[in-house]
Parts: sequence; structure tokens; C-alpha cells
Amino acid sequence: MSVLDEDDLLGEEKLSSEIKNSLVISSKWAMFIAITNMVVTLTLVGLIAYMYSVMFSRNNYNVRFVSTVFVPQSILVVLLVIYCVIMIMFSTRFIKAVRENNQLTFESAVRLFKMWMILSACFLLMLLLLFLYTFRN
Amino acid sequence: MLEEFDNTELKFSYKVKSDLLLVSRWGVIAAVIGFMLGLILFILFISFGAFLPSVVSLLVTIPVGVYSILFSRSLKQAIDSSDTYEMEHAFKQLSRFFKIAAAITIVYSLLAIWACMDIYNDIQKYKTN
Repeated sequence: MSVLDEDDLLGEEKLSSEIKNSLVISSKWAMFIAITNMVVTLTLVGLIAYMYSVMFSRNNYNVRFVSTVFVPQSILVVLLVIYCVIMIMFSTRFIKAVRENNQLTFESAVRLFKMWMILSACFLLMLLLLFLYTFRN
Repeated sequence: MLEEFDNTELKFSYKVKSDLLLVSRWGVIAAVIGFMLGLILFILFISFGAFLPSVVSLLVTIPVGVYSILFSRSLKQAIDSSDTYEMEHAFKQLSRFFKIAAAITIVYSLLAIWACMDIYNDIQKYKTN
């Protein structure tokens, strides 16, 4: 979807050194956040899954527990991993684009950044609905 | 330390500007949802009498949301007025946004490590009983 008028095509400003610096710093921090989040979340989830397996080995298999706790948690974790992967992808592309002065890589990085921002809003909305549902019950 | 980059080649083309405008719109939406989430968590924790988590939920959501809105607003103004200085300001706000998010991630990671150790100890106790 185009959000700019054709007149805006005329002004194609170059990226200044300050913008490139800020982009590289942002990308490095974004990569740090993504990798840390992924490692911490997967470790936590692995440990919780191990805890469930220990519990289920002693008690009966609880279908209600699996449908209300395990499945929503798994969906959230999968979404979080996708979110982190997109974050790593746009960070590496921004750094690559700035270092190699590659316009195509820069455009694809911005596209991924846009996707990440949309996903952030959706992810937050999902969390908000989840907490509202918990609060209501 | 700042790095020196070549001031050639890369430019804000029509495609890039169009995508960045969408980024600014969704940045504001994400920030507003983040504020609402912080408020819900605050009320949720306060209703359970947990004062510290309620303050933490506000301390996490407010700075991230504020920087997201500042970045989005500067970005939109820069694209609308084709202002290079405003664009530089917008990207500085973006780097501040990620720095604050990184600081929150470090705190969250420490809490998660503590939770992992707690869960592991509980499993060991459950196994021995």
C-alpha cells in the first residue's frame, strides 16, 4: 500500500553519517535484545516443559491443563521466536547495508523493520487481550 | 565510539519513505497498546496487593512507549518536511529506544535466571518427595 504522494518521489535524501551511526548502534542493541530474549525464553520454557513432564509422570494426563495452559504458552513462545528472528534479520541487514552501502539491502531491512513494528503491535495486543481475559476471570 | 561511514549511495527512496511512514504509524499504535498493557498489569498486581511488580510494570512500559512515540513523531515530521536534521533526531531516538529496551532485557534476564533456578529446585524437591 502506498502512503506517499508521487510528489514525494522528488526528495530522495542521502543518509548522513549520524543516521548511519544511529542505525548501527540501534541494530547492535536490537540484536543483543533478540538473542538474549530467545536464549532466556527457550531455557525457561524448556525447564517448564521438563517440570510438566515430571508432574505428568506421577499424575494422570490432564487434558484441561494442556488445552488452557500448555497450548497458549506454546503459541506465545513460537510467536516470540519468530519476533526475535525478524529482529535479528533486520539488524544484520541494516549493518550490512551501512557497511557495504547497498541500497537494496537497506530497503529490505526497512521492510523487515516495518514487519517487526506491526508484529510488535499485534504481539502487545495479544498480551493485552490475554491479561484482560485473566483479569475478567 | 562513533564509526565513520561513507556518505554516499544509501538514500531515503520512495519505497523506504513509504515503509518508514508505516513504521511511524504502527510505532504509535504499539506504544498506545503498551501503555494500556502497563495499566492493566498495574491494576492486576495492585488488586493482588503486589506493590513492587505493579511499579515495575509501569517502569517497563512507560519509557519504552514514550521513546517509541518520540521516534514515530520525529520520523513522520522528517518525512513530511524532508528535513535531514529531524531525520537524524528520529534515528537518535530509535537508538535510545533500543538502549532502554536492552536495559529492561538485562533486568528481565536476571529475573528469568532466578526463576529458572527456583523452578529447578522445585523439581528436585518434587522428585525426592
